[in-house]
Amino acid sequence: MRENPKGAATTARAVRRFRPTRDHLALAAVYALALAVRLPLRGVAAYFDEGAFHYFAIHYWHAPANVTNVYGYPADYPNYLWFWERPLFYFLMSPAAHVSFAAYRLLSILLAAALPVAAILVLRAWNVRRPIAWTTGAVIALSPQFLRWGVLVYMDPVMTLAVGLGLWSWTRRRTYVALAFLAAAVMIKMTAVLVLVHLFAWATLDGLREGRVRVWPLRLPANVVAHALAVPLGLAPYLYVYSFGYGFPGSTAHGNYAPKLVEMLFFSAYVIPILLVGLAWPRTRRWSLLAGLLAGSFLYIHLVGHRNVEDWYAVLPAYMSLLATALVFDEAANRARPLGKTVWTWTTRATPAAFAILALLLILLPASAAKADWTRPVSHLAEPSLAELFRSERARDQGYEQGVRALGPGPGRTVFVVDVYFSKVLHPVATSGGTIRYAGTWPPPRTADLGAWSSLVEATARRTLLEKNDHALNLALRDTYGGCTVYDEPAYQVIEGPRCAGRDAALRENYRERLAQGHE
Amino acid sequence: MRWPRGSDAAVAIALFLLSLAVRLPFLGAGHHGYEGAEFSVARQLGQEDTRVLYLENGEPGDAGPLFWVRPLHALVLYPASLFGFEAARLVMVAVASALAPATFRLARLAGASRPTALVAAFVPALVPGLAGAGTHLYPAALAAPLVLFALGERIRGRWPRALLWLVVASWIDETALLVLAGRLVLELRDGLHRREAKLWPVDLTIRQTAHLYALAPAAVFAGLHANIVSLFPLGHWGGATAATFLAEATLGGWLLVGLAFGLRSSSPRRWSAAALLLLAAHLLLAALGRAPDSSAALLPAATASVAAALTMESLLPEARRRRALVAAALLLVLLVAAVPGSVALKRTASPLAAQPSMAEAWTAARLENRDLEDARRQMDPTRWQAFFLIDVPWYHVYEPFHYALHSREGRFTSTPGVADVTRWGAWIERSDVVTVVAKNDHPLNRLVRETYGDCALHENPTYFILAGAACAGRGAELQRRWDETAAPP
Repeated sequence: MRENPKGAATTARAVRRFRPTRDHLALAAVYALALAVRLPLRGVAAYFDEGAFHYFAIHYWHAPANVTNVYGYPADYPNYLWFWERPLFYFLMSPAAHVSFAAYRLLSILLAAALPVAAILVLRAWNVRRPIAWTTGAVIALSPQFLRWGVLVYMDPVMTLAVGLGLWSWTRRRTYVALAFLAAAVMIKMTAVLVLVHLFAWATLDGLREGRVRVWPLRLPANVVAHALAVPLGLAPYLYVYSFGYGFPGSTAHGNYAPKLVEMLFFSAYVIPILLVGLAWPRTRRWSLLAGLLAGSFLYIHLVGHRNVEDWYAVLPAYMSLLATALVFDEAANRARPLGKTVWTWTTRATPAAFAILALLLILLPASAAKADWTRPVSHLAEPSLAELFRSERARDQGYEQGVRALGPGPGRTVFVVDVYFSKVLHPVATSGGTIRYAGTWPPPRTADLGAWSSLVEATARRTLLEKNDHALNLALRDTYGGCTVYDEPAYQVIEGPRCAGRDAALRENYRERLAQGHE
Repeated sequence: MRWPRGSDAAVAIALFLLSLAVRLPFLGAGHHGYEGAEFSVARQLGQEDTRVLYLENGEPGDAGPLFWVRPLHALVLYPASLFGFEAARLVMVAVASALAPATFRLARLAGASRPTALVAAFVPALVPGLAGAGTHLYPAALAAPLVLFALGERIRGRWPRALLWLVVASWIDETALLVLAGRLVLELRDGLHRREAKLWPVDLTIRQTAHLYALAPAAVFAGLHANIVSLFPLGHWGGATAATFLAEATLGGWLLVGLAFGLRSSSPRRWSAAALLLLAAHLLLAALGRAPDSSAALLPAATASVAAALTMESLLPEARRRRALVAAALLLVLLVAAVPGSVALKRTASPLAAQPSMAEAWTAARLENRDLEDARRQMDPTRWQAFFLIDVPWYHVYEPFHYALHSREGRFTSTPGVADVTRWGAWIERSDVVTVVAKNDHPLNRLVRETYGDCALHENPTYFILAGAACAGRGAELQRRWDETAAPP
């Protein structure tokens, strides 16, 4: 960890000598701590699109060949553009995904656990005091917000790690290495382009101030050109899928949850005034601005673009907010020195300690109204404690996992899955081998088409797994073949259809009745 | 804008009038491909009309992206579009007629003698395929004369003005972006050669900077365009095939010979290379499944004819032999325009694709989409205030049906996308609604025509028009029959 002789980040401070032994020990300890709290959760059920990501890491851009719809046509969702949108993530995860889902998870955990390490590296490169840097690392290692998405295999922690390493290299003036990390981060998930654009803008402004950049006629120094080229390079995969009609990723939001978002994106609402102070000081300005830019962009797309901002999107903004906050604390300590020893001591010790206490409260206190009021003053939504997160993650989707075990997919077997979210079909059902037939009961099919359903349930498929809902055909299937149920729990049901052969007419009759009752 | 003086001006005016004369008969042609969409985007300036919705999801067709990919094209057509489709066509005829004089002017400024330049100008003026394409409401026909004019300005050393016209052209049609990018590459090459500029780190001259900045906003439009055409593949819009495009852009392939020779001589080399690059770009897009629309051949054809004219000049410096070649070339163009496509010799001479004569092109244009015109005539605004369209291509929803009826509201749908047939019945049977079914073999399409067969108002080989109020109460029957019909999923 060499000093950064370039930016305002270091000009206000005397040069410190790097002590490899202490720093290395601290880095190893933080990594071990992060691993220790993540590894016990490695066996939890796949969440939301995690199954699809795993499938793409094995099969790349190829459509799932063993999944067809009820009529025998290839399943058309998700499509291959998902792969090309974020190819580097899938290539990176591919070797482990080919081994098993557990190995895939393990690789993701190993990478995500490096987030606090990268944070300490960045902060030390910014010449932040060790106690502040180490505390920040520990908070990232233990916070439920980072922990959950550090266990589930999503792009955001891996992308954030690449951003962290990019910022570390950038601060150390390894510009090309930094830009390679940042362009890679954009290819893992394009959110990171905001970091690249920010650094490009800042490098350009620096150049303009120093007379190295000229707008008319254009003159750009090599580092600014490199920044400018890294943006389209990183975005190339997304531009490729965009040219094929792929739109803005994510889904449309129903309702406004901006207060929750504010606290998620900034890690805590208490961070916001600290970042505002950071905007006033030259050393902290660019990083406070970057934290605000990241969080503000997501708020913008939610409030103005009416898009959903999922919980895992907040990993990078919250990470950047914590880094910028730590830097502001350090700068505050520097500025307190002339005010006398008492003030200086209070600032250097009490302020980060208070921040650490807030983080500890978030991590250790069980969810309650009081916790919500004090730790989440804007949204009043209590975060679970670390222990609660462990419990809830272990309990999540157990019904589905057992249902899949009862379904028994495997090589040489045909199974039928109804109304389950497609990513959850891709894993663990499709990756288990065999032939998968998949269908949804909405929009309601025509009665003339029910023959395909009944023959699939009764003859073609060994077993049928349904996610229960109130659609007419879902109810009719459960009524008609209820006597052949081999697994039943509140959300899922598994039917052994071949034992109930010959009920096509009953299914049609039941379906008509359900439609007549107003079910769709 | 400076016009060529003396005899050149007279020739240019004559060429304009000649072009106008051969294009005016195309005014009454039927709708070609997705022209209706270009017209409605211009007429509404990209604003969606919430009165006209897709029945299955209740959302209006969003024309905004289509407007923003080619904003100046819509703006130019907007005033005329308020007066109707034919008025917009008239604007296109007038603008496209300027292509021949622009070609003549460019060839003259590039160094061609008057007779050779005249032959070059006869290609866009008289080749039937190009004449017809120029009258369609597609943007390439509008942008091509501007590009040629800009290149002429560049030759005269007025690069800021040339750049301005290229920017305007690229905001009309993204093809001009290729020319703009080509100009930037040439400027950079020249600057690097003269050691006035550096690429790493970047240190550009004013001229290069201006070209770079001019390219940036247009690239955004091109990016939008890439996204839009992938949503609405051009090949599905009745666009030309690659062979037709190449045949029209190269005079049945003969201009390629001129371009090949042009690459060997120093003076026409740049023009030949430019024409070949334009052709290659379109063919590449066609290979990627994005077939060019009918007017895409205009700019490559005009550029290729200028290059071929300059090649003639450079290969045959001796005046007498050159005059003979010019006469032969002129004869070839006239033959292409006059000889019917069915003549065996002409088919042999144009191996890439059949080239009709001008008279045949006029006739074909008048016969194009007659069934649509016939259906449009049945839209009586005094009788109906709303419409329901089944399987009618989306680019015909506004033009002609919505505009012909001045309708208060309208719905369109498609048989493969059906969610709830009962809603179809409700719309068909409304007393203020006229229903238009574009016939196809989908079982539901046939069921609609059978169920409401005795309420038919009019029928032609493509469209089935019905007033469903007289058949009220058959929605349930349609639903029942559809429910029991085996159909492709």
